[in-house]
Amino acid sequence: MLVRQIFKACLLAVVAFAAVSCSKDGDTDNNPDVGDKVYAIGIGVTVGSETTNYVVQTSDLMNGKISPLGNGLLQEGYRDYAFAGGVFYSIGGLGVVNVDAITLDAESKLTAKKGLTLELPNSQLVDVDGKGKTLVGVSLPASPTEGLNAKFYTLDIASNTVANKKDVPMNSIHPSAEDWLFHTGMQVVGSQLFQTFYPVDYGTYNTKNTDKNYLAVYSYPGFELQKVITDPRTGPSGAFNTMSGLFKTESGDLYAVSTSSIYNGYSQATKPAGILKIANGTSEFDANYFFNTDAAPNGGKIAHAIYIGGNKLFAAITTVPPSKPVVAAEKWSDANLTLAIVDLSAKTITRVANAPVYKGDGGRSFAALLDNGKVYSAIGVNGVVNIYETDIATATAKKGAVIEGTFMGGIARLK
Amino acid sequence: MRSQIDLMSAGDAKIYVIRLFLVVILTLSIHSINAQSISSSISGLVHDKSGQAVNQASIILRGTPYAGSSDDAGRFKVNVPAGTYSLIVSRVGFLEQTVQVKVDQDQHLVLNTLKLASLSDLKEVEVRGKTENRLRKEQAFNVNVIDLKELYNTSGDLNQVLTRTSGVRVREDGGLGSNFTFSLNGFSGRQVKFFLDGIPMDNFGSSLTLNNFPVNMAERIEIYKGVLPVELGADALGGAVNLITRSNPNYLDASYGFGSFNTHKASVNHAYTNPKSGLTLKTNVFYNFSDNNYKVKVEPIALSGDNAGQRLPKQEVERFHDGYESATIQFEGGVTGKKYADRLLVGLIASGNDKDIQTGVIMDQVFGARTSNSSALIPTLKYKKSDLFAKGLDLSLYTAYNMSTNRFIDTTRLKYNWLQEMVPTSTAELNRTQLKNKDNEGLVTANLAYRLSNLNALAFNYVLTDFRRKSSDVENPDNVTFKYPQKLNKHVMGLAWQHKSNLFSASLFSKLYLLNAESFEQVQNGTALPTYAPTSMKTSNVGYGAAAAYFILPQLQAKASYEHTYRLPEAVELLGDGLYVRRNSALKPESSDNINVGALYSFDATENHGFGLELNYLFRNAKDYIRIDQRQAQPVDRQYINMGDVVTHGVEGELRYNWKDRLRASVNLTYQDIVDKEEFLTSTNLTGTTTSPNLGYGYRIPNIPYLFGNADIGYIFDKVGAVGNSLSLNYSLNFVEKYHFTPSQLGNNNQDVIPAQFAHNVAANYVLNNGKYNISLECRNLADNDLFDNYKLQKPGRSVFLKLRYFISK
Repeated sequence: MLVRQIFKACLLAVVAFAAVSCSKDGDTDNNPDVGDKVYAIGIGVTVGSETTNYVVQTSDLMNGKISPLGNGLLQEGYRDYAFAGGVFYSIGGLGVVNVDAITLDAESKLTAKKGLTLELPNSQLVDVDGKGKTLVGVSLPASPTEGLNAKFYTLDIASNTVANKKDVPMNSIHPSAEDWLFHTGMQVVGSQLFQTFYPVDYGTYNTKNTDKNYLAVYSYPGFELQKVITDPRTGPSGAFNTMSGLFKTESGDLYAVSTSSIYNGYSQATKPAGILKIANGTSEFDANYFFNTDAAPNGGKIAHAIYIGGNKLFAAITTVPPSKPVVAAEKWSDANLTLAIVDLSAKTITRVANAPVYKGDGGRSFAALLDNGKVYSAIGVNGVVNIYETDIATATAKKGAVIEGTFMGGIARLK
Repeated sequence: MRSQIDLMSAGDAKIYVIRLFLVVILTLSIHSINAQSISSSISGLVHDKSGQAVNQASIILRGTPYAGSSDDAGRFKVNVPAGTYSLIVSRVGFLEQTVQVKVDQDQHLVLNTLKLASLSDLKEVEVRGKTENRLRKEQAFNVNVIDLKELYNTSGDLNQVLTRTSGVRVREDGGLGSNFTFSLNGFSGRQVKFFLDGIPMDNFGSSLTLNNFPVNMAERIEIYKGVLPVELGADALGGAVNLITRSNPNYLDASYGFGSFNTHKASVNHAYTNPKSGLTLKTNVFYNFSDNNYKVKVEPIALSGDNAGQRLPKQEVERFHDGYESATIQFEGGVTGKKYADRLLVGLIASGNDKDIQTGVIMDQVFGARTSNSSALIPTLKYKKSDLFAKGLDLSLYTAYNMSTNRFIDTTRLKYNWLQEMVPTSTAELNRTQLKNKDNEGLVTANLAYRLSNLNALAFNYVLTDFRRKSSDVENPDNVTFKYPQKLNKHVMGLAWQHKSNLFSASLFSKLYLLNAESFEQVQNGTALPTYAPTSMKTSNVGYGAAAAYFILPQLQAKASYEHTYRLPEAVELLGDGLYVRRNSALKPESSDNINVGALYSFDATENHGFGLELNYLFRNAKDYIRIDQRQAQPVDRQYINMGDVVTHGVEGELRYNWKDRLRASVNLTYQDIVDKEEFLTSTNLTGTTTSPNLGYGYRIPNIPYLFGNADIGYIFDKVGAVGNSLSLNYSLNFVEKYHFTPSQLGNNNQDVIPAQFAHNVAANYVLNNGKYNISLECRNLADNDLFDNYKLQKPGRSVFLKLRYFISK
């Protein structure tokens, strides 16, 4: 036994020195072959218990494996992703909020332009008018010890610079001794910016006030707070970090989506889940429009969604009502999600066929890509994450490539 | 999660008692086999010139493994086979003495009292310090000994000394007073325990840690890799560092040094023992101050103007908010050599520090106003008595009660960048706080040893720690988490049989680990207002192990040990520190099976050329491995977490050479392959248990250096300027191979790499008047290389330090 151990030790020492003397710097190029299409995928990998993020490129979403093994750009810290004007934004870092602009170089390989940073963790980046020139962003402090102001700004995509910075006191948006507020969505229509939020205890994340929907209205691009309108037909829009609270159609109508979902961190729900409308040209809730998604056939709570045109949302809806009383394991579980297509004008919900019921990844902004009438999103079942391609016309899904990682955090088509 | 996990049962306790019983039976049977091996002995008394007993004198028989040391009464006894020997007696502060002795078969030779001359009486000095240390090294445990006497004139703190030892890596965030973690063969942080004279140091607070402990105060450091002797008792998985303070009864040692970055270090150590009354007084005072304003390379972020938020070109800037100041006073008084106590000392440690916070976890995040401070008051009691109640029954007891307060302050409404520009903010620099953690911790350490015979002893060790925390923050008074109890109660008991004959030493032991932690967690109660509720976790574990060492040849010793051990979470791991480390009330004790195999070989090629070679192999299989996790989400803090299965294979080697005791050189290298062996990650939730493949399976754990080494060479010139003056020159090199923070198998061209690093250090010491005065000049990082640690935090460049020291010993 002793002899074997010593032998093993010597062997190890030899291997160690060999490894050191032979190891090359990892500058070999492991990027996969580049096809006609190039997609950028943000992959989060939990190894042991640390999650690290990588942006990996692929030209095929439907076959094979999309893997960060020896491949992809490391993204330091926690990352949120956004896409506009051909640029895939990776936002985050370790103590500093980097805004890294990822594009393709001349050889169609991912390249990151770095340098821009933000003062606070970013809440959301939204294309102002869909033209891919200017993004509007906002950072909200997580508690009054972190800051007292919401910080609005615009980001010029071409120069990767920030302008129009404006601080808006948090207590002017939601004056309350009891609650703080968390951002859940925003859109610019004309010369106004609309923001959904929910009142929350910043210490416990308890939601004591779920009887109304809240919408803050600002001037744009000046970011002067004009008013906050409320509506008692449903609860607050969106949930913790889901960024699925407010959507804009081609005609400039806004739809505010409320869930009060326990699965996404609410501690209670006192109103049905539903959708409210703010017609283009107005800054009031449309009294004649209410879509109760809880009561709708095939309905549920719209936990995550993206707008896919034609007054439709591609959504992950929670179809199983939470236990009563609230069970700790359900809260924040992001569970029981089903893919669905929500028609905002017809007020119908169509569940996507051939897609499994799944559990989300805790719910940051919904990683889904609309590309030629298909939506690509990721579903993890039994620890294996696959891309699913949903055909919008038929509401049918098809299982695609395997993502080697713990979750897909972002997806965009760069070419 | 269940709020109460109670793993202790009557059955466990019964099994433990049975195991202990087995250990004792085994002990006695081995004892009867070994007792006859050596039939003669040499015993005697060691005194100084005034007739006072000299304790801890090393007794070695030249060219043999037979050795011993004197007890507090100056007595010693060495068991030997019949033969003729050169017996060497040595002790720090005294001149070494050699006596020729001849022992016959079955003879128990009693020598005349050996009178040692004090060094201060002599003109010619020759300190052969290695003797006690060599003894320590020859224990069955895998232990490294650093003889600090060789380093008294260096300006370093203990961290810098430890870094030069094989298998040891000290990771620091920056300069003097910065956060550091300590790793021993892949075990790090709290897996490695620190002891001061055998007393756990973990409750001494942040003012009294290794990186502000002056080298002068300690006599030697023992580094145990793997299995610990039972008398240390603690639940360390990775090993332990035991700092032995100087035991000279009468001395005064004062030093002052200053150097780069406005660093000042001063210390006064004094001890007095009255030979007649036994009255003993000890005082240690030390003070450290530094601006730590060394230069670093950064890309500052513009705060205002058109390019606000943009990174500026890389440039060299000075650290501007990294000041550190600490002071500690330790006083001990009592009696020695009394009928009721060999030693009875009461003491008080008072310490405090102020520390500015310059950066976050990476250099990009810079602060200009956040600070922290801490203060601690620790009354202590030490008691030691040999032959208590019965002959051969020795008791030593240590108790301490630590009252410490740690504060973090962030109240300045400004944001800084590396150019020291600032812009106003609405509340604080990062997160408004005036957090105050009041920690009270009681500690009892008791060792009971019973000598069964000259060769065998039984030892029982008991360590109790009881920790309580009360937190408050005037900036956030309603924080519900401040209202719940935070308590941690630990008992560690060990029973060991120890055998020590001349060629063979061994130890068998069993330990019982009990943990009772009270914290809190959020619970749902079905209303809109889920609340927090107290939780408690109780665990009970039994560990066991064996260690053996054998002289294959008089110059070649082989050592092997195995241990099944546990480590109980520390207060900071379970409860967090409120700022940098988040609490994790679900943290489980970690367990490990450790195997160490090693050999020590020394030989004198000729009379003048001495060589020493040491090789060790280590295997660790750790379950629920506790490691600090750098959280990637906001806020960027850290949390201690369990990792399922981690296997470590390590080898380390050291080669030493000396020529006529004038030239000393050593090289050591450590390689440790710490691999994640958890194939699937499982998480349980409402939808059932999810199992996902672990992409780290089979790969090395990131963010731990895996190959590092050191080289030292030094030469002493005698009679420089005058008789009694000497000059020594030393050079040392520290090397760390390149490593990644994140899994290196993922991503391509990852930028999160710390490149291979070399630090060259040189030092010159000039000793005058036989050690009464010392001047030392040291230059660290001579080549001014960029050195990094922990998420690329840059460490100081070239620095120079001058130290003056005065030492008298009676």
